[in-house]
Amino acid sequence: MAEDKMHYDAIVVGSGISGGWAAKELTEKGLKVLMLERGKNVEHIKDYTNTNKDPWEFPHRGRATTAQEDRNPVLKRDYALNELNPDWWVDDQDCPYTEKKRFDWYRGYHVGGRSLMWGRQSYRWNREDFLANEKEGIATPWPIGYDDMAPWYTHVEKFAGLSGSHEDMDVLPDSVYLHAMDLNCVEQTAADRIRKAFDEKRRLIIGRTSNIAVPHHGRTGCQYRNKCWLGCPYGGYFSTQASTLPAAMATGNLTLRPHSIVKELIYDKDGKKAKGVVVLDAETNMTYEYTAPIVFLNASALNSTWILMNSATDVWEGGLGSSSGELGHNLMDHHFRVGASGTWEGDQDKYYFGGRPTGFYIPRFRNWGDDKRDYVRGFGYQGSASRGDWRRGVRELGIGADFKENISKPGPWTMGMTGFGEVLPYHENKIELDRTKTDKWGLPVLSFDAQLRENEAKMRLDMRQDAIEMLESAGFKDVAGWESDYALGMGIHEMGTARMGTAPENSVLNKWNQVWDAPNVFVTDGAAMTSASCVNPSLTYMAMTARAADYAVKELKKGTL
Amino acid sequence: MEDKNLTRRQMVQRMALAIGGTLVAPTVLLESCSFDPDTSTAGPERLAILDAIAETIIPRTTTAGARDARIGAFIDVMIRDCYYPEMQEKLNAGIQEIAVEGKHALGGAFEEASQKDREGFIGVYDAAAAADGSHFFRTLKELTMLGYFTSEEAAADGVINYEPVPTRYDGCAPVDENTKVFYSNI
Repeated sequence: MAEDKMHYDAIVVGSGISGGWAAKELTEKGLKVLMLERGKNVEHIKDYTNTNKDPWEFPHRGRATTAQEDRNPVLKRDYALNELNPDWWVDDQDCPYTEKKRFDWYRGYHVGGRSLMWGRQSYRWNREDFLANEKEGIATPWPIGYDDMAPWYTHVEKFAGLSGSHEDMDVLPDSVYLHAMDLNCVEQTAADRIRKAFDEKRRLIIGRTSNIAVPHHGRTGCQYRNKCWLGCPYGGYFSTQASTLPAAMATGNLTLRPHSIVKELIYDKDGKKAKGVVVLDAETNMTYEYTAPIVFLNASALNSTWILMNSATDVWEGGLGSSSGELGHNLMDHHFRVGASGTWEGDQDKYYFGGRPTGFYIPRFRNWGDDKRDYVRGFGYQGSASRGDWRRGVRELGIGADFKENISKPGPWTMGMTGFGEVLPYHENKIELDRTKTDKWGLPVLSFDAQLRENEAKMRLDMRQDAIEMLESAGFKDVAGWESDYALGMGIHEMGTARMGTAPENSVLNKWNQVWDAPNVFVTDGAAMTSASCVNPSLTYMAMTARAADYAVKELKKGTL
Repeated sequence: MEDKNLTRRQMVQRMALAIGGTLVAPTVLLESCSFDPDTSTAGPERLAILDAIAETIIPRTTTAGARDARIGAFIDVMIRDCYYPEMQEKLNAGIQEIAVEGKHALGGAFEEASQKDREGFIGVYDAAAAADGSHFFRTLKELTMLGYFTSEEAAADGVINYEPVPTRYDGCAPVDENTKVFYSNI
């Protein structure tokens, strides 16, 4: 590792979705940027080790072994523990944390972060999402609104490349799309019937996703393999590696340093700003100090907060940003794994071809317009219709030649959906530093104390019942509601803990994502969120990051930072 | 099998060239290797009985059967690596029961009996597993099907419609009696 250059124009901590955007925007505006990533490098295409393997090349066909399960008590709670991309999920032994209450934390510590494995669903927030806290007197008002964000949504969408359909709905503002993927025949029929049955108030549309099937900025585009989370050699989806990193590198202004754990910000209490960061080299355990007039924290929501908690502790015991009393508080996720499914008797002469990397989406309709429930906020649905494969044969009676022949044909159509609901920002839902426990590098770990509360519990009843109602109204048979185990964190949409607000007394960050107590420190990942909406959050992080980067460079040039 | 594989790889490379833009590095494509189960901890008798059970469920017809796809070896590896001792013991006891009771019922080694005779014997276990999800045979059947329907043999013989690089999506394709399940990934 070359150590000749220790001073930069800006330091970006983290290389995932928001860190990649910070690096791209800052370098393209001429700044010399150091991007720090705590994990190893993953090079586009070259390091997508499993992406071109056939299924028979995996000895366990994708399933986790007991050795993996024993080592990873958190990862094994969901699909994150598997045989296909195990290197991209954080090892639970190296990186433990404390659960006062259960919290599922699925992390990706490597260049690109979770931009390599993300679900890619991409939705703009609506106008009301930014207003709800203030109107309802919940938590604290957002310091920005839809009009502040709209031009930045457009800016990031044009570069990231989205597919989706124009629907002109207030509840789900359209993005800039390169094209739309198709619903399959059963989904299309369901869409038509639901639209009619609910008088246009409920709509089933194709999922809006950061997958593109057309060439875009040097990327070939989606080949409908539906193997996104193994890394895409065709650049079919937005990731740091496919999108922002090559753009940032092309400027000649970016230095990427993997294996670099940021321990803390170096705080200048006289100047009331950060001078730089202290880096622990994850391979050598040596520490280094890098300096810059601007620092962007994009370490993923809870790790950005961890860095703040470990910084300036000689001034504030709780760390930088704790003067508000809100650092570590208001932890959010999206709650899901509740919905319904049913079978479809028609279209037996129809099937689909190709692995579409998205499903359908049903935008929020509860507490919208003149609808009023006994809870606040709402939820959307994600789902798909498909025909059965060999799996249906496992529980059926049958062996032998006829069974083999029958089971190799497409099975019955089924359609299912799960709601994704908004979790409110509760001050009581929080993370803290647990200094009694340390990770592989001797650093203190996070402790979680958060849970769903009454508003979410009431909402979940609707998430189940409304799904049943829509499937039945569309003509599905054997419709059954279902609810499976959900714990906070499972949505992998960690938000809050360093929220934006209107004043230093109610928030950690101001309307430009600057830490009130250190204005040259910008936090533009999920930590900044003041509320959660019910739509997938990453597109909003991208837009927020580009907006803050633009502001930061202007202020730097004015000499105010 | 090998020819089909090469053809597929050549097809992927040709297609990548035709599309232009980002290409798959040839080294990545050539790294591909076939199913290579580690059977070092299984004896030939165990592999034979497992192959015979799997073949009873998915026999060779005009297309490859479970034995052709070495599903016995696959099941052995899965039991060894993916189950805890309690479940391992339950599965191994069930396999042993099939071997012993099968020999008794069929008048000779289970694995040497005809497909028809083995089906007659295994049918009882299949009925029990269809009624009881915790029955050991449910797991053996699941592993057999998982292994077979993700095998190179099933793909090569067209038992599944395996398209590693579909290049397009059709949400409303017609089907006839010959259409096989479309397979995209695991």
